[in-house]
Amino acid sequence: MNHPSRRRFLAALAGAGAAGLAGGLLRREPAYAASGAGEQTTSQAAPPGAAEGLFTNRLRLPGASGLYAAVAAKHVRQITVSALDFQVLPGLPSPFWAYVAEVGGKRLLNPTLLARPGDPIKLRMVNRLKQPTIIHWHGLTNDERNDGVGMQQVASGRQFDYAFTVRDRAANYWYHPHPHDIAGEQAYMGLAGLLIVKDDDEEKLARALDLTLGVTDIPLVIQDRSFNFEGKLAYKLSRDQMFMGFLGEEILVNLTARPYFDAARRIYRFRILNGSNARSYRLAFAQGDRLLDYHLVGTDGGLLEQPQKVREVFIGAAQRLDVLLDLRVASGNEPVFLKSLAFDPMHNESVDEKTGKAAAGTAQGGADPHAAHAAPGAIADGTEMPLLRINIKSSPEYKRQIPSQLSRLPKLAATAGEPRRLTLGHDGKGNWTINGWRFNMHETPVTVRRGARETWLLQNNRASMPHPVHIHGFQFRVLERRDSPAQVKELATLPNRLLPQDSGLLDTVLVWPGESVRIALDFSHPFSGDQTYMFHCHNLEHEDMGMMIGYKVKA
Amino acid sequence: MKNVLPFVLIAALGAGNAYAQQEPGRSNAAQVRTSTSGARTGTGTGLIQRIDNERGTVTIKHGPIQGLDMSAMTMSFPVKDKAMLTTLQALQKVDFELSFDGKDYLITKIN
Repeated sequence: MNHPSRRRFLAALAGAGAAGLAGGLLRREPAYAASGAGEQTTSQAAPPGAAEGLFTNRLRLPGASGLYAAVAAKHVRQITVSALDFQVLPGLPSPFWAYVAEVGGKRLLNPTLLARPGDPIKLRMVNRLKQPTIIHWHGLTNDERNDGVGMQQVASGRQFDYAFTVRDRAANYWYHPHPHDIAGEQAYMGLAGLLIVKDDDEEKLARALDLTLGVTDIPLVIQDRSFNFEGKLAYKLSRDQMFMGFLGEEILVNLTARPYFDAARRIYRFRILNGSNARSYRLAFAQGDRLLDYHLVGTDGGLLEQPQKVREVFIGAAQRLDVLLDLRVASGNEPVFLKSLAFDPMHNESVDEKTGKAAAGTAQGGADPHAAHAAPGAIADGTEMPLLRINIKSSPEYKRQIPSQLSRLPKLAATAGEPRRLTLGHDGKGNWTINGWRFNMHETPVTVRRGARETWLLQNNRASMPHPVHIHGFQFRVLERRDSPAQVKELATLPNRLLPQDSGLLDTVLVWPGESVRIALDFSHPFSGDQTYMFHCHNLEHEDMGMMIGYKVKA
Repeated sequence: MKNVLPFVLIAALGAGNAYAQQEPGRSNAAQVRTSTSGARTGTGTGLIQRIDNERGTVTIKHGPIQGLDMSAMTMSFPVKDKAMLTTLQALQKVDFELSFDGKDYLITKIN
């Protein structure tokens, strides 16, 4: 296999997409690093203390109406996919695309849908965009039609009726666009909402810790975005940017730029969704230079069996982390910051596949990850940066403790025999691939039997970048990680080099360059007839470029 | 090279809406016709990226600067009076007046 040098590789990309670059942003310092630092001019993000004064916008939270309003899913009869004006930045209307629902005379944007296992969801999606779209119910076990992917996409002005039952565990699911080729733009322009499924275990935890959704139980949707000189969202990527995935100039939490949140000295639950198109984060809570311990209590597929004490956790695009932060461990009233710690983003697509080192004639390798890969103007992937300031306010005494047992997880064991191998890489021509395949709407290169149990080995090439791999239709368990990079390995606390988040049910797993992740799947579901699902990278630009395959579950 | 890069990129792309960041006070031959006959003034709109109170500069992602033949870019400018910075904050949209004396830029009004 020919591994082009990075220079030649990017030259090829530039040739393919130079026109697209005109819409890009060219400058020498990441905007966030510059603005976040206040007085600084280096490319490093400011430490949280220095950035304190810059977090001046109150965090948007689910309310009774408007953005993220919480509503029982069964009360939502219609979601209209709409292009409208919305003030993402205070006082600055921007083109914005939203899932709009009218419930009880109130207008809800990207509503936080609430359900219990067994609830029916019946709603009509009306597409008022000028392009096709379709809603994918991310993480839910659905039949092919209700799963919502490009094969069912709905033309502008048309509608689509969903009717399904929530069959999965209580968890933080989400819904987002999944049309073929244009999912990245649609998600970027605003289309995404949470579907929170609650059950008895959830309610037990809420009672134990006295948690209330929107008050002490806080969804946090982290997304990076860029704004033009008028404060408007725009999405126009070069071929090179598509290959890397979108990296923005600002990090928004709940569509709030530079957000703050006033908190009491007690335990908070944060339901974190990485809703970014492509960016990963290394999440930690910091007070000054001190990193606070927090507890991971849930993942994509719901509560863990026991809380896992952590200090930092990676989260790839589309993944969810459910965490508890006990602010009683914070000292004084100095604010606490949710931040992303620095990491090597491992944009290693041009390294030598055999050695893992920089290819001859290139300066790039794993050693200098930031400089070569930041899209012009963007915050470099892996940059340390504060995301949310948490102000600690005086509050009544709080004596609750985190329960030692949270829930029960279904067991999923490895199967005998060789695993099914799926290799993530690129073809040297600017296309990401799975086993060398690129997406073809009419092909399903993988077929499994309904009811079968399988072990899949997700192997990421060394000459690659991190890929958050999402499997539609079925949740899975991680059995083993091999050849993880040092920054991942050092966070592994469980047997088989597993990370704390690997102890939960997942629908998306972040696979690093050179790493192999073995997962267990059970293809049992109640749907008759053959069903086709997607397996893809949830870096949305990668997905749009074809890093996706259909797989068939044969009845 | 520092000041040539934006020109090269703009020329290479054949587009006028490329952006580049400049050090405050530096002239940019690519975008502005140098004048030795006194200051020229332009007006622009932009989004504040950074405020440097100590140096008395503000970094703005701005649209085309009318009157100075400057295309859209992100650039740091000194302000006439540091007190002008006190009412500004990052990600605020501003209208500003920019003077150029043939060598240096200076923001004379911003709100």
